[in-house]
Amino acid sequence: MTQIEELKSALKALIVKECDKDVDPATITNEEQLIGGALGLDSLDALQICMAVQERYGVRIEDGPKARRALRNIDALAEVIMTESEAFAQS
Amino acid sequence: MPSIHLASFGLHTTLGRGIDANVAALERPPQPPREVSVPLGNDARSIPYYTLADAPLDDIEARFEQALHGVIVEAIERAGLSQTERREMGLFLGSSCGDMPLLETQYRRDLESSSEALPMTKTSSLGNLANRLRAAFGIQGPDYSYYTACTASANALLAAAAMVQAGRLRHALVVGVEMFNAVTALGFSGLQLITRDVMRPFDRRRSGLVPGEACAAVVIGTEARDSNWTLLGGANLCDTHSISATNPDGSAIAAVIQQALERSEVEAGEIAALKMHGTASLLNDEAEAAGLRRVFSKAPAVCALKPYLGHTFGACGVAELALFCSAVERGMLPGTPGIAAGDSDLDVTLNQTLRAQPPGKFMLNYFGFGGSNTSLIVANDGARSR
Amino acid sequence: MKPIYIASCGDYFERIESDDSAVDLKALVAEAIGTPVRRIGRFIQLALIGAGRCAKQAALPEDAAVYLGSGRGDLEVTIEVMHSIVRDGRAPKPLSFINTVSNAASFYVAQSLKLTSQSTFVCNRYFAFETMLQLAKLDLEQGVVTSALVGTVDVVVPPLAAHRMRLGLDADTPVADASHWLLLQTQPSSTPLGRLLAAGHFTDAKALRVWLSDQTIDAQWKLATGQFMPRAEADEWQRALGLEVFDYLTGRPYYDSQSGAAIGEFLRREKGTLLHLNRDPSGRYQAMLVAVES
Repeated sequence: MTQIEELKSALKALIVKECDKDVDPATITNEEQLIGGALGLDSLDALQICMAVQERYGVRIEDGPKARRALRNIDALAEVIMTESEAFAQS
Repeated sequence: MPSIHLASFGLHTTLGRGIDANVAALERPPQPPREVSVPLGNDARSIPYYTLADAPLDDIEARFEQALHGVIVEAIERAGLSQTERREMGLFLGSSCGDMPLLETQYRRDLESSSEALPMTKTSSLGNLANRLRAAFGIQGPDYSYYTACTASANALLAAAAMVQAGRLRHALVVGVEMFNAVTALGFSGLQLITRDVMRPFDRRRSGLVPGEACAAVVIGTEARDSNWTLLGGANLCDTHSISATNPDGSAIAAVIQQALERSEVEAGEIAALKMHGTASLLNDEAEAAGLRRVFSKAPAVCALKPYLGHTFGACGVAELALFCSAVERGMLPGTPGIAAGDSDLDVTLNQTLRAQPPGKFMLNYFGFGGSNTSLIVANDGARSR
Repeated sequence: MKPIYIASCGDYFERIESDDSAVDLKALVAEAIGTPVRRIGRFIQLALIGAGRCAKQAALPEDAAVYLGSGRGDLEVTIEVMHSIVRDGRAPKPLSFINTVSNAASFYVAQSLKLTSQSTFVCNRYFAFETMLQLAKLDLEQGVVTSALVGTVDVVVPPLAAHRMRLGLDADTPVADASHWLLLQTQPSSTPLGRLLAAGHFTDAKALRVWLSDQTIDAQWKLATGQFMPRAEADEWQRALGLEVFDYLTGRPYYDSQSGAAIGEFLRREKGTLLHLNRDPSGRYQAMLVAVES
């Protein structure tokens, strides 16, 4: 797996765990809508994901347009983290 | 059925200690919050907070009990309750923090002496605060600690009124308490709901809430004492739309207001002025505005008190009631200059200046997490009893 | 005054034997209310299991009000956020913080059972169940509500040694998770299990004796005393009243609102009238009076 693929599957696992979803992380696609989509996540889940991402990757996602963009789908979230996380920038 | 009199109030907020100091502070516009250092592990975070006037944050445990005892003494003395009346009255507490300030302080201290220390070893019941207050004031009546988030002390008041009205109790002491604690500050911060600005409910520029401390007390009974207010009725309903937000279409808020009006036998058109909940968050204000539009064909005068007090959560039921009633009793409706002054995107215009307010019937609304919505209706008949 | 009927009862009760023996409650929640619920801890799960089981036994109208009580509150989530903030230096997660509002449990009961009336959470250290029964009874009598789902929840938070220390228990005291619920109605749709005759608070023993002297006590009555009444005093009441004892406490692991089990146990095992007396350390009393038709 490439680094970004690893990141994406880690993010899926993070979302399932943090939001207490009873689904196999692998069934989440990279393109599907995260909040308000078939996954059934709401704004409270969004806040929970933001805080978990900040703790794990040091990337702060504020409420508002940036959060909506970043939480659009797994692809978008991974891209924000790859761009902004020091851990990834150094590697 | 006998009338329920709000016999007397006690109040301590960021505006001042005592009812008179609080009412006097309404003559100045709301002040921006100052930032408080909130302990987080061995570190700290700076978070805006309205802390109590004349009660520095240095000794968290001492100031907690002092502030709380202060407002209870104020209410009991103004009501002129005898020893026997005091002993037999019920205690109805409404809070969201409970003993949290004490639990945090104790745990922090214990961790300094041992890294193995555990939280909540000295006290671990949300009911202990009520028992401490009963012991301090010699109360043998029943106690009820309401923990229903931002409606807690308003719900405590409704339950107290039902008990007194049914003759189960002659008097009840209803207490609202919300004191500085890290869980509240950091929790709301994590929900991205805190602003560094003055709270601006219903204003286009609204940007969130500021946590506030308050201790407040009201004594109720079937005869008038220090104040000339009566509680006409109220209602509490659960909106199961979401744990963290009320239904934005306003239907749940309209339902609780409607039920409060029916139980109080008051028509919407009779409400002279209304105290909004107004948390200055985008969605809650939208829901509240939508709820009012469903009930009132012509909006009464509306005011909001959180720009002055901050959001005092579980205490706001009694704290905002005490402040609102005490101001109106002195002939004044509170105003918030420059906040929702007429160009609100929600079509709500708040009263702008402290202005003359004749006696009448008034509504106070409270909406909180866990879908708890409460509406109270009170009336005053003019002349103060003393 | 309107008679108050007990339409159904539902319980969950499980002794916790060791630090890692707690039952996974997720499946029990789904079974009790018909659907899984995410983002909730054990305290809220216990509330849903007890309330769901109670609701299943009768037709639950959507305007039923929820009266949830506890002797302590949601210890589990409070300890979790305290660890996070004070010990670990991490801000509380949004989903944990939201559940620190104690009415989260009563909210989830109302939401899961699709109820639209009031839903409240009240804490009382020694009389958690009695307190909720009293509040519900008053609202039913005043016609404020016609159906009331009344319950209490107690949660064990391992490690057990720490839990016992928090609760002030001896090192070997058995402890349990518990959730006890009754559905009370003024107009039951089917044959009720019994009737709630009284639920009252007394400032002292004298006030309780005055009330007892107004009751028409007969041989059909049985006496149960609550967990916080000292043994010697329980014996005195038994001698003074001359009633047969209904014992539901012997062998029961500790939790704060054991009184919640009294009525359910009596409904299952006995006929006649149950008088339940409890007292707290400051000398206040609570009485519950329930009748089951023979």
